[in-house]
Amino acid sequence: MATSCTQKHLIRWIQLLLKCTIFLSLTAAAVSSRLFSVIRFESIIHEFDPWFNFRATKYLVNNGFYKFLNWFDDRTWYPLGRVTGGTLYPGLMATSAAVWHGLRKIGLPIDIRNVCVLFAPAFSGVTAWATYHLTSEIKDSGAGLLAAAFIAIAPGYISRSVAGSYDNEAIAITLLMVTFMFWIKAMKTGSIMHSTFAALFYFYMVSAWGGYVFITNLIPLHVFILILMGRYSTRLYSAYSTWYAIGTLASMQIPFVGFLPIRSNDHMAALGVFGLMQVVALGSYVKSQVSWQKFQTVMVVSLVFLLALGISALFALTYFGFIAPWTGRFYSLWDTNYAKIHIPIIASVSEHQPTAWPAFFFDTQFLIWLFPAGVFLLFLDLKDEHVFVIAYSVLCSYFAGVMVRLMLTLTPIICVCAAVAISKLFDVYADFSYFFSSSSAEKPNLSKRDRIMTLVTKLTVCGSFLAYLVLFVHHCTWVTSNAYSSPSVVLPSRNPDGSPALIDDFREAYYWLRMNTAEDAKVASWWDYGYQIGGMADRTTLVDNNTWNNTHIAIVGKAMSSPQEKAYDILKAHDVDYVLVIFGGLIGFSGDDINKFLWMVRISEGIWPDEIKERDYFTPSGEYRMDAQASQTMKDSLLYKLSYHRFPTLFNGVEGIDRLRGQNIRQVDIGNLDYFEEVFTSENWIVRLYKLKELDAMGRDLHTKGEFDRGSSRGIKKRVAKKPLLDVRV
Amino acid sequence: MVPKTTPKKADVASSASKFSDTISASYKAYCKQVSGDRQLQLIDTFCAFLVAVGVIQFLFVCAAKDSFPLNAFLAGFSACVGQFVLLVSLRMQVVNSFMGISPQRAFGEFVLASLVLHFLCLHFVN
Amino acid sequence: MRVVGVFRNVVRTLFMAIAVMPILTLVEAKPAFGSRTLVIYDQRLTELDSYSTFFNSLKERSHELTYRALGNDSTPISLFRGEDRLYDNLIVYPVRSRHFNKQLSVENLLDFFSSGGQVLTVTSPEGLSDNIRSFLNQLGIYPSPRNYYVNDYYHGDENNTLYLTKGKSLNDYVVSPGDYNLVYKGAAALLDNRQLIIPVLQAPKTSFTLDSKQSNEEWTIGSEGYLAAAFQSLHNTRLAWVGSEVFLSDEFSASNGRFAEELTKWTFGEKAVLKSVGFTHHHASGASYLESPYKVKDSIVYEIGFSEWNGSSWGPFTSDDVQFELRMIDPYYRITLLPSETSSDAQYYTTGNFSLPDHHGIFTFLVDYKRAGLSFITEKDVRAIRHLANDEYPRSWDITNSWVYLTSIYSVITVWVLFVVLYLSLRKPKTVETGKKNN
Repeated sequence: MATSCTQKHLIRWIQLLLKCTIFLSLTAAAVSSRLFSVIRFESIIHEFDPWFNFRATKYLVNNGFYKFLNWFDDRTWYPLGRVTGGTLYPGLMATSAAVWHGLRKIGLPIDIRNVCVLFAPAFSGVTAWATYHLTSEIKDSGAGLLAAAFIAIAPGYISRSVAGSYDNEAIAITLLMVTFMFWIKAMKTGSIMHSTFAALFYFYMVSAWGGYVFITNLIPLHVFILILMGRYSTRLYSAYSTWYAIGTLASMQIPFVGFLPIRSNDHMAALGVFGLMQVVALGSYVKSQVSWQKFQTVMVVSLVFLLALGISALFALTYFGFIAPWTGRFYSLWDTNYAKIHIPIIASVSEHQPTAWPAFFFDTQFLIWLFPAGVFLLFLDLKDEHVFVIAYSVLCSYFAGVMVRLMLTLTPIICVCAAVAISKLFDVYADFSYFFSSSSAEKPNLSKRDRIMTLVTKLTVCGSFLAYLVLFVHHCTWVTSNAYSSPSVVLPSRNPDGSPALIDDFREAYYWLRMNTAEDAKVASWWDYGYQIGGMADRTTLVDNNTWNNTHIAIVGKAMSSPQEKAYDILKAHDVDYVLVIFGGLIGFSGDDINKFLWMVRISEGIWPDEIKERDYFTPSGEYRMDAQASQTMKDSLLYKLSYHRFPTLFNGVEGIDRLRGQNIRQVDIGNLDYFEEVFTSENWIVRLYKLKELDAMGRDLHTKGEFDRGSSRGIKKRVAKKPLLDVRV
Repeated sequence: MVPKTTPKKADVASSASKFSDTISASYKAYCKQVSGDRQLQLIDTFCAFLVAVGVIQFLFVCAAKDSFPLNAFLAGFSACVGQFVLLVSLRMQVVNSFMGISPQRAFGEFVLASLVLHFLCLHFVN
Repeated sequence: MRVVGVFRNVVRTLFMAIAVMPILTLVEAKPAFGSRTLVIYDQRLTELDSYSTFFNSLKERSHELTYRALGNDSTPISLFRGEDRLYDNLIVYPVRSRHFNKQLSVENLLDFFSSGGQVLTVTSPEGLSDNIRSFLNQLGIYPSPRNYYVNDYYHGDENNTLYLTKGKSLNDYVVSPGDYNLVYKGAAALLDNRQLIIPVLQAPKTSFTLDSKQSNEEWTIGSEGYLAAAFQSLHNTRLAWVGSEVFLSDEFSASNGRFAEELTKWTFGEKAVLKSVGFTHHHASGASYLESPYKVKDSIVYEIGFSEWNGSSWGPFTSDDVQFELRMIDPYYRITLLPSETSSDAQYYTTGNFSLPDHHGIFTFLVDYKRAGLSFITEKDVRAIRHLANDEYPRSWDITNSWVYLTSIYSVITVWVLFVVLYLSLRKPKTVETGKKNN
């Protein structure tokens, strides 16, 4: 009827309006909740890895894409240099540069730093939109809106996409959701166009993040499960084959990925499922033409044959070296102790540690218990796209439990499943249409008491879930504000009188380095700080966070663990001018080099087990101490001397109190520093810079020279000439 | 013993005959499907051509014992494989069109995807 | 009597001057780096007149001599005014005065030496002050202590004097080769095995150094002792030590004269002084690094020019063992440079065209010329050698293997175009009979 038509129209318009408003407010919430650190401190790039991305983006903006693609960075990994153009994922930088150029074209010349800082919040809005579409495909637009709301403010995602966290994940999660959205659409309709889009966004994802391997394995897994469930259909064939063919070919265009898709074991699953898909297509075609019994024998025979062929081919190719075996990172996902023994570098990164239980709640609050409920509800439906969500959830839950870092990939699917659960709940309990329906024919006969009870139950349930949602928002905002908005370059602290103070030692030291050293000075430090030194101080570094060359890092580790003379020789051979050390003993900063020292020892022991032994750095009773009981190797090591040089002078000259470790450090253990001289120490002694002394012009070794200088300043006059013990002169 | 082997032989013989029966039956059904439809014949000839080209490239690599330049080989081979897969998807839609996608739209998507594929192959082969 | 003595002195000086003049008039020598010379001597030990030959030859070589006598006063001797040296060369005669240690400390001597001041120290068993001894010990020269004389029953007499008939210099650049008859009376030194030390005159195999007053352990036995030693620091500052003051005196100038003169010429930078006039490197085609940064396997040329001080000006220095190193921690290449062109003040050497290694990285272009007796020359340039850009690899149509693949791709594309055309012309929807399952 006419009225119901216009009513439907009106309803549709109201729905559209509501959706738009909700989306706008979601985007506003997503962006604004990520801006805490910008408001509190300033618009600065956080952490370590984003500094490299920022430097790369600056280079791209200044020099153009051709030079960026072929960039040979001679200011990192001295003297090896780094072929950066071929060893990074350019998606993030290219996108930022495109945004920067685009803004300039429309007359808004925003500085590249601000573009980079605000990049992640901007893209979080896009993630919300993509999640909305994905969840609408799974269930309906109501669930989609809920999922978008959750992903907009979930701390698990915010932790890596806060303003200033200019890291690959900022764009990668967005692309992940978009790719999955297109994949689900393609799989449901069989449309080649959607598959192509899925493949192109997959290519974009490959260019942006190394975690693209997750998509490479999840989609084939999904297809494989569907085939096993007997849900093969021509739509599935069309979707997957198109996606694989175009996606893999496109992913090989990225220089960093190169031939990995056909060479590494990580990608073999996708290839295997592709082959399997062709076989299944052929088999299903044959099956449609002949009777079941005849088909059965053919199927069994061919299946056995193909399985044997596939597995033997895989093993043969791996054995002969055509396909690289599983990488160490992959092993460490299954065997959590593998990395500690075999690859200390991977084990030493704090983000690679297993996740603690509270982290799940901290990052997702009540979504974490809605998550299994959502998965179960999807099980009840079990359409093809629900299989995808279930596979994603199960796989990702395992990985998120193994590595803290992968919590980020679990968060989107938690949001989706939780949204499905709540949406189903609201479908039932928020359905007040009974009370508003006008025609009596629609009202079933219920007693008044039943009607009131239904109303009360519905109101209670809705009310309690609304309260949960409000608490969720509250929790997310609190977590974002307190835990994830720290730039980690500037540290907040309190003065003795309680007023807030900033610890800005890092920037102070890097700026000193930038202003007071030669432009081509080389700085040796532990690899954690490489990117920051390159980004803020603009000096050549020996090793940085890219950690692509373990031996080079081990050289720096060996220099830090060896006595002064040996360390001097090692560093001089690499043309090092300055050494940078982080020391937290005065103020209690726990991320300092002495706490990381054992990793330096372990990594260098991996290369030189005869010269460096981890046992030597512990006390005889096995403790890791810095005071009088420390082992002599520990006291002789360069890092000990550089960290504690002049430390007791802050106290009484004889002994200093290391506040972080709670131990007393004696001047007599620290000894004299003959080969290095201190050039800068920051305000709270967090960053200390030392310069290598020049070789003595008179050919004395610097220790003798140091002894002589000290002796002469004490004014000891030697009256008696003793015959010296000299090596025979050849 | 004698009674045991004969049933086995019979089994093997029957499964072998079943196998050959199946193959011949499916071949006959295929011929019937294709006989009237020029579109399907066109698609199938193109597919056969692609398979031939792909096999030629693969044999070339085996004969030359050297896959240099690998990117060119992969580009050529994936052109064949990718095009083949797209063709089969198109064929499936011609035989039985998917829900919500008209045959014209299917063909349009096929053209789009093929163009993307060709561009990628040319870029890859340098 | 006194007139006769003076007359005898004058005649002797004239005779010396006539004898030595031919040598002097040939070369008008002057030091390369400065000629303000300070002579410190102890009045009780040294008579300046007995060194007139020596001082006259110095004056001939354009030295401006300033004399400082040490006696009983203890006013400090200042070698610096602020940061600048007041003198370029320093000659210290044996000193016995106790106050000398306070007048000139070891640190001042080390500062003077490391800031470029050349030093000639003459010590003797009677005059070896602590500051000079400590200074020499820091350089690795350990002269024998007070009252230790070097003796030799085969080449000397009971007066602690040594007569060396076949004295040889151990380094050709310091003192030119040849047999010298030398008269020596004084101390011998032990030298440590630093490469910066250049021994000049070795004690005979049959010599020994003993305390003449007490019976103590010998200081040196045989040829482990040295009678004259030289030192060149990494900054090319030179020092020479002679353990006998009579070595330079007029009395023995007939025999020791030439040796002493060459030693002092070397010490004060009048001979065997080298410098580099600069280096260049560029592509073999002439393009510089700034125009087109180096990449792997490029063809490069490196050139450097060496000059030698010939007493009055800089001239070319020819040698066949100058080497060029291309280093990244360890040398990748070591190429002996060939002489290319000569100019009035330098000899240029070139490597010829060589191709850079196949490994990208940051390399040092290094010439490190260190020969004992000659000035040290080090020229370093650190440059990045990049990898091949993505469009510097051979294109696909240049590789024969890839023609197969190119043809296959183009054939696929052309057949596809054909296919699309044909397909569109066949747009006839046909309902397909679903295959029956009762086959």
